[in-house]
Amino acid sequence: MATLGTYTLVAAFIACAYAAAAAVAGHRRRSTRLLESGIGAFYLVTALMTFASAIIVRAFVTGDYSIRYVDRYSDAVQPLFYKVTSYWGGLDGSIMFWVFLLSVFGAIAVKTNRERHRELIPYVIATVSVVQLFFLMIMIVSKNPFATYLIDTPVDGRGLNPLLQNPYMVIHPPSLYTGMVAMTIPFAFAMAALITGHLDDSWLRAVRRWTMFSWFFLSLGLTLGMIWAYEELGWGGWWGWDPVENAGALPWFPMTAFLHSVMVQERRNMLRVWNISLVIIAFVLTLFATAMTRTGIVQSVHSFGEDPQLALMFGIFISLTLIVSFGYVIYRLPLLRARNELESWVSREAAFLVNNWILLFSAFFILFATMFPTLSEAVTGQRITVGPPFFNKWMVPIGLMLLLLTGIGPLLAWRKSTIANLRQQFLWPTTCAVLTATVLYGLGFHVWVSGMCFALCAFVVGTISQEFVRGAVVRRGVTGSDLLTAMIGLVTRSRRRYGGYVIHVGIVLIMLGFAGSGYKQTAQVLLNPGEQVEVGRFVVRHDRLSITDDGAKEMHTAHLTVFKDGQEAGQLFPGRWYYRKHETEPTTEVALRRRLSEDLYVVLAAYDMADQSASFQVTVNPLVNWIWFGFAMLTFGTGIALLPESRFAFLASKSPPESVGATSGVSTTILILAVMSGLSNPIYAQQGVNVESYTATTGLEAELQNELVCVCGDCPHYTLAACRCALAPQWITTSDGRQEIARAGSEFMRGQLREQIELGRSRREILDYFIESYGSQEPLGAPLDEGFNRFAWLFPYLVGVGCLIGVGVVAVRWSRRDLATVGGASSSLEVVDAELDARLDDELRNLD
Amino acid sequence: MVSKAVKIVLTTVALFGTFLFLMWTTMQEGTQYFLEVEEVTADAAAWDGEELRVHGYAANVLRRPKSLDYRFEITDSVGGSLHVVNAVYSGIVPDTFDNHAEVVATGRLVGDTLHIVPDGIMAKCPSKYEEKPSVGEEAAGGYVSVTQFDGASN
Repeated sequence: MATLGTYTLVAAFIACAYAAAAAVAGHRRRSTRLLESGIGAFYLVTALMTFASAIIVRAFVTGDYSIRYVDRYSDAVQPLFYKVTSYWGGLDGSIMFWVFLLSVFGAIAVKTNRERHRELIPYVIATVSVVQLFFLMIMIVSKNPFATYLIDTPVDGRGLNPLLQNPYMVIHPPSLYTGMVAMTIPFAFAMAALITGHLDDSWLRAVRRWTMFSWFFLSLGLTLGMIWAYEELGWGGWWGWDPVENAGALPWFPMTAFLHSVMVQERRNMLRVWNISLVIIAFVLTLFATAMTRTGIVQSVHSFGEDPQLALMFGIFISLTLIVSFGYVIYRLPLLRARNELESWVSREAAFLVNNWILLFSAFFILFATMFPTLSEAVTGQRITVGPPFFNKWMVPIGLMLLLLTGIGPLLAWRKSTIANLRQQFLWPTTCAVLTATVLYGLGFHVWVSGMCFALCAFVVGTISQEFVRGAVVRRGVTGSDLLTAMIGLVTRSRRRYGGYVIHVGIVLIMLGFAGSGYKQTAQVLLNPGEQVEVGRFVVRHDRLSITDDGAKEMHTAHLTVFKDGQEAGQLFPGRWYYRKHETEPTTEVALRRRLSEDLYVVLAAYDMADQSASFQVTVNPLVNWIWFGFAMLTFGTGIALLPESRFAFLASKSPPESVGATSGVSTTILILAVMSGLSNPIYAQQGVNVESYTATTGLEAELQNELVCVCGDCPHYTLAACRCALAPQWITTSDGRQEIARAGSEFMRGQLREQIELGRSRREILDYFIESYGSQEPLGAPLDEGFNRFAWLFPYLVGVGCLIGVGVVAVRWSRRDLATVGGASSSLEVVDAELDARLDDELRNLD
Repeated sequence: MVSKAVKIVLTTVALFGTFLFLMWTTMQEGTQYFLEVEEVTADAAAWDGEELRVHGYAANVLRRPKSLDYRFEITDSVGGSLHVVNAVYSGIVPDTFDNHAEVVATGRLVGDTLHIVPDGIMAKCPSKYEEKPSVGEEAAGGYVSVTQFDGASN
């Protein structure tokens, strides 16, 4: 198996080399056959990498511990889920995962662009193949994931570190890798454009979507990393300016810069050298990021370890990439010269240029500060590091400047804004900002930094709302529909622009979340049972400690009661978990109470089981959840911006006058539903909080105590393990003469459970008993997953999917009809469309 | 043509100069020397009072019962004791912090002891060594060993 895997990698290496050679040779010799074989070899690499991935995953699942990588990151009792995802848990596998992703993306890119950009394809293949060759070489030469033990095959593996055994480990690396690897495709297209000399905008159009896709997944990966650090690691923050964190964030800046300045190139034919350089820099930074994580050139908690040989290999490859790519840029400088010049600093191009500078400066600054220890050691012989305060001191003003530009950009006109323009555009957003600042100042907020941040957020929201409303008003005037339909039509007609605005709203919310950290409050305290601590508006009282066990881990939990503004506001259960086989590496389980206004975050730091005293760190993090919301908004905006054109063209066309009434009715209904769902109070179903199994005698009893719920009617269905009510059972007689319990307390129910256990009943029999005595499935906590219940559970999803299919079918039908009637009703539509175009700003022109 | 090149060069020099100046002033505070244990012990007097980041391996980690005060040693190699820096710390420690863990501790050297700043311990996963958990012994000053298990004091 392992040998098969190694040979697959070698085969992939050979196929890659052939693909690159054949593609280039085929292009130069104008030989279609050679080119086709190169493309075929390229697809073959994808197939081989998929096969290699399957082999390693199979090795994990079947527990083939003769392979060193499998032994290191898995063991027999590891859940299947984590066995599979350990594929990317270590260095060797993660490199293979990188090549796998790259081969898949490369294949997709080639397949979708073969016809449209056929002159670029040969060199796209060559570039992607070269990158693949590099990583494959690393694997074959030194980091082979299929390396085996020559003798002494272990019987069981060492197991994945428990700190890594959580869902975030499953999605954070793939998302981050997708973001990084996908950036290779725009780079490949850029190189192809440079090498072939086809430097018109066609390469830009090919890469814009890929860059957005890559940018989104990088943002997702970074956000997931932040959430993971926040929820799991227990230090109360979400970004530590750790070198590996910084390295992952570095490519984000040139990507964002590119997504903006590409608009300047499309509209004004400027910044062409700049754009191509941005793509190259973004790609090189992804290589750099992966190098930094793997080689330990800078000390970090994340890095896999120190590896000078690997550092050298990466160093050489990165240097070669820089030399070759920028060499080509210099060579092609005549073709890249701009057609236009910057006419005025009060223009959108200028705003984008400044935005680009700031973003690149941030990237450079972070790179410099992160590499500082290595640089200072090289120069002075002494390693000097910088810490978070240094980063924050610089990045905070930079962030505020970017926020300001986010608001100003849409307000400026292309080429040059007149004073009248400026006055009209800036009035509303500036009013918002000034109002917010005044109110906050009156309430006693500090001007620096939070006050400024909030005021700027108001400014940006003012700008974006103005854009939406003004655009919708104009469109309404032309199409005659209502405001909401006009707004939807506006967005679909110019998805990039308005999707971008939604993304900006997301950024504003994220900044809001960041600003909240200025008001963070924390306390570290030792409490005996009954004692409490006050932090902010919260009072946290320590009740007791408990020990429970679920077979995989022993859990030491503290039971805390929380009071907010004097009112009881729930309970928290911070703890420490000791996994089997990793007893010396306990994990901290943070207790988190999440609300929009703030988070209450409690960590159990140390404790004494004997006298039940414990040390806690209690932190109040205001506004932190807006960061995650902001990211959700960003996702939504990206979805809008990435929507494909044809199927939704029907939305952009003018709706016939007769249907105006209907559409406005539909739109209003949608609006009302949306508002209602936002206003509704969420019903918190009680999750099975795993507290101490209250005097349970067997494993089954403990299990059922944590499943069955109390039906006293006073508590929100706490599990029998957690609830402590002593309500006596109330019997009623049903219509067919049976005796049933209408309500009962958990103490009584636990007694019933104990009785059943002592009678030796099985799990199913006990559940049936409860259903019978209570006349319904209420005490089960969740309905049994069978028959009608399963159908009922599935039903909403089936309806949802059915509706999606229905909408898709309708969209297809309508767009076909639209094309058919275009000839007939052309004249009147054309006249109106011309008017529409003239009245709407020309930026609404769809540039796809 | 010439004036454009001159403008570009001047702007670059000006920006770069500002950047360097700001860097230099900011770096007066906020930076620490990054040292291995041997470098500290070689000349402890030179580093006295400075803010340092010391890289080494934790050993003899002890915690005062009913508190978050830790006392431990940073050694130059796992289980070694050739070069040792004493350290004291009060606060929350990372989950992976224990004997033989690779650590980077940030703090100020006073005499021969490193006083670690809050949240100043960065620890990596313990190495291949699986240390058998030791059961509580009262060390000097009422400190007990950290790796205690089975519900005993921790």
